[in-house]
Amino acid sequence: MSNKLLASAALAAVIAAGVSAPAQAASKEKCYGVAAAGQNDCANLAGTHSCAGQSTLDNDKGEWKLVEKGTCSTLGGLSKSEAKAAYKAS
Amino acid sequence: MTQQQHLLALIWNNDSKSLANELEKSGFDARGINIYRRNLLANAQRALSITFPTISQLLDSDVNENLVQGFLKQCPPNQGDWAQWGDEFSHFIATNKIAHEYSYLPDCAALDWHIHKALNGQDQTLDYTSLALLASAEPEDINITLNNNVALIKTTSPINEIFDAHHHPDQQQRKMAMEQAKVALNTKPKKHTVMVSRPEFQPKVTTLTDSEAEFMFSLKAKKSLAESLDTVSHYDDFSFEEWLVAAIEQNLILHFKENSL
Amino acid sequence: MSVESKDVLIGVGLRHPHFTDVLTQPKQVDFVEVHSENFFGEGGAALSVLNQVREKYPISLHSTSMGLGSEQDIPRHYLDRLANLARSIDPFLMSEHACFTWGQQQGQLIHSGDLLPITHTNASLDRMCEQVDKVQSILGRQLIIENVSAYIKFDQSYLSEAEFLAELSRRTDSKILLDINNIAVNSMNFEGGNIKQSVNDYINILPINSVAQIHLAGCTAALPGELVVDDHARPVSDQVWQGYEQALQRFGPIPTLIEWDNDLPEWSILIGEANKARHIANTLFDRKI
Repeated sequence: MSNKLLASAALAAVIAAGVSAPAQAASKEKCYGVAAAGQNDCANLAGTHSCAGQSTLDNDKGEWKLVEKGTCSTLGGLSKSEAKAAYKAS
Repeated sequence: MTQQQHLLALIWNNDSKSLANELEKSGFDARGINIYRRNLLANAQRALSITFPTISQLLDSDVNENLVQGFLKQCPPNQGDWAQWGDEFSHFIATNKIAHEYSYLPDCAALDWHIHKALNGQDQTLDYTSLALLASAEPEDINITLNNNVALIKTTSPINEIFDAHHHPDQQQRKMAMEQAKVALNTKPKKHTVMVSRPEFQPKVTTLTDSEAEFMFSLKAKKSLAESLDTVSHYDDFSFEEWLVAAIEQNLILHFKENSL
Repeated sequence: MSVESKDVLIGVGLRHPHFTDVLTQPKQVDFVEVHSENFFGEGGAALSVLNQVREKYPISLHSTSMGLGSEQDIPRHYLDRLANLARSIDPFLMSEHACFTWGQQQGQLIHSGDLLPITHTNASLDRMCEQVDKVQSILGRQLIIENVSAYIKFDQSYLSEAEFLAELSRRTDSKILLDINNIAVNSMNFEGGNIKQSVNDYINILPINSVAQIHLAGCTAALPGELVVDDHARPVSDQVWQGYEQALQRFGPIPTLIEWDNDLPEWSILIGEANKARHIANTLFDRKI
C-alpha cells in the first residue's frame, strides 16, 4: 500500500472507531493523587529531617556499602563490565 | 570574596579538613553554619528522592549522603526550584563507581527524570482539526508533532520492569515485575526503547517494539510522515493504522502539520 | 481574587498532603498560602489542583527562592516563571523573605535552596531596595517582605532587621510580612530568649501601616547547647501566641497565616490552629465569635 493510502486508511479507522484523546480537563478528581510533593520550603529541615541528625557531613564514609538497604541488592544482576561483555557476545 | 560568596563557600564545602580550618577563620558560630549545611543536604536529599523515586528506593538514598553531596558539588542547583534540579543526575550516576556494579542505575534515573518532567509538563492534547491533513495532504508534506510530554529512552536494562517493581499500584504486579527484572538482569541484555507519555495527569511508561521505536524516533527527528513510514516499511509488525489509534488514545500527538513547501 | 473584610483574615499554608482535604472539606479558612516555586511547572496535576483551589479560596503566593538580598542579580528565568504563575493564579498577596539565595561557585550561577542571612547595612539596604523595585515593576504588584530566622550574626550589621525592613518598606512601597516565630527563634538563639520583649522591641520599630501579613508557626525545642531551628514542625507556642496578640494590638486586623511544613498534622489540626488565631483576634477586636 502506498503511504498516501496508509494515511487515509488510518484516518478512516480513527473516525470509524470514534477514537478520542483523553481530556485532561475532565479528570479533575484524578489530579490530587497524582501531584508530586512540593520540594521548596521556607522551613529549615536541619532539625527534623531523618538524615540530618546523624549526619556528620564528613565526606570520608565508606563508598556505597550502605547500598545494601536498597532494592539494588534484591535485584542483583550483572555488573557493568559483565553486562558489556554479555552484550558484545550477543 | 564577598561576604555572601564566603558564606556560600562555607556551606558548600564538602572537605571536612579544610572546612574546620575555614570555619575557624570565618569567626562564624559553627553551630549556625552547620544548620545551613545540614539544611542544604536535607533539601537536596528530599528533592532527589521525590524526583528520582526509583533511584531512591534502589539505593536507599536516605543514607547515601555521598552521592547527594557529590551531585550538589558537581551540578549545583541554579533554578530556584528544587524540582528542576536533576537534569544531569543520570549522567552523574553513570560516571560514578556505583554504576559499575549496578549498570542499570543511569537509565533508571533517566526514566525517573522524564516521568518527573512529564508530570509537570505543559498540558497538551491533540488538535483534532489537524487530523484532516491525513486525507488532504501528501504524506511527504505531513509532519506529526509529538506531545511535549513524550520521551523516548534507549536502554539495554529492564527499566520499565524495575520501575513497575517499585511503583506499580498493585502489589502482585510489583512482585511480578521484580521477578521479570531479575530474570532480565541475569540474562543477555537486549537493546530496546522505553517511552514516557502522559495520557492525562499520570505519566505512563511503555516498552516499545523496535518498529514503533524507529517510527517515533523518526517523527521526533521531524522527518515527514512518508519518510517515517518508509523507515519501518520492512517490519511486518508495524501498522500505521493501529499506531495512530493507540497514539491518539494515549495522547502522544500534539498536531499534524503541513511542512512548508 | 480580591479579599475584603473588616475581620482578621485567617489562612493556612497549603501543602501537598492536604490537597484532597482543601478541595473536599467545607471552607474553614479565609485563604490559603502556597510556595510559588512548587507550582513552577508548565502544567500537570499540581497546577490543576491549584487552579481548583483558587476557585474556592483566595491564594497568597509565598516565594522562597527569590533572594531579594542577593548580590547576584535574580535570574530572568526565575522572574519569568514567577510572573507567569502570578498572572494565571492572580494571588491576593505575594510575599518573599529578606534574605539572599543566589551566588556563584567557580563562575557558575548557584541557588542556595535556603534563606541565607544578610548583613543589615545601608549598602545591603540599597541593594534590596533596587531588587524589590525591579521585581515589583516586573510583576506589577506590591511585594510583602518577611523577617527571617538567622543562625549566624554579622559583625558588620549596624541596623536591626526591623529598622532595615521599615526603611525598605518606606523606600520601595512594599509591605512587611511579620513572622512572629522568626522573631522568637532569633530571640532564643541570640537575645536571651525573652520573647515578649523581643517582639515588643521589634514591632515598635515598624510603622503602624507597614505590616500586611502575619505568619505564625511552631518549631522543635533545641537540644542543650544547640541553636533553635525554625522547622515549622510543631503547633504554635504559647509565647508566639502572646507575640501575635502584641502584634495585633499594634497593627490592627492583619491577615494571618498558620505555617506548618514538617511532621505535618491532619488538616483538622491545622484548621484548629487557624481557629485559635481567629479566636485570639476576635476576642481582641471584640467581635462576635
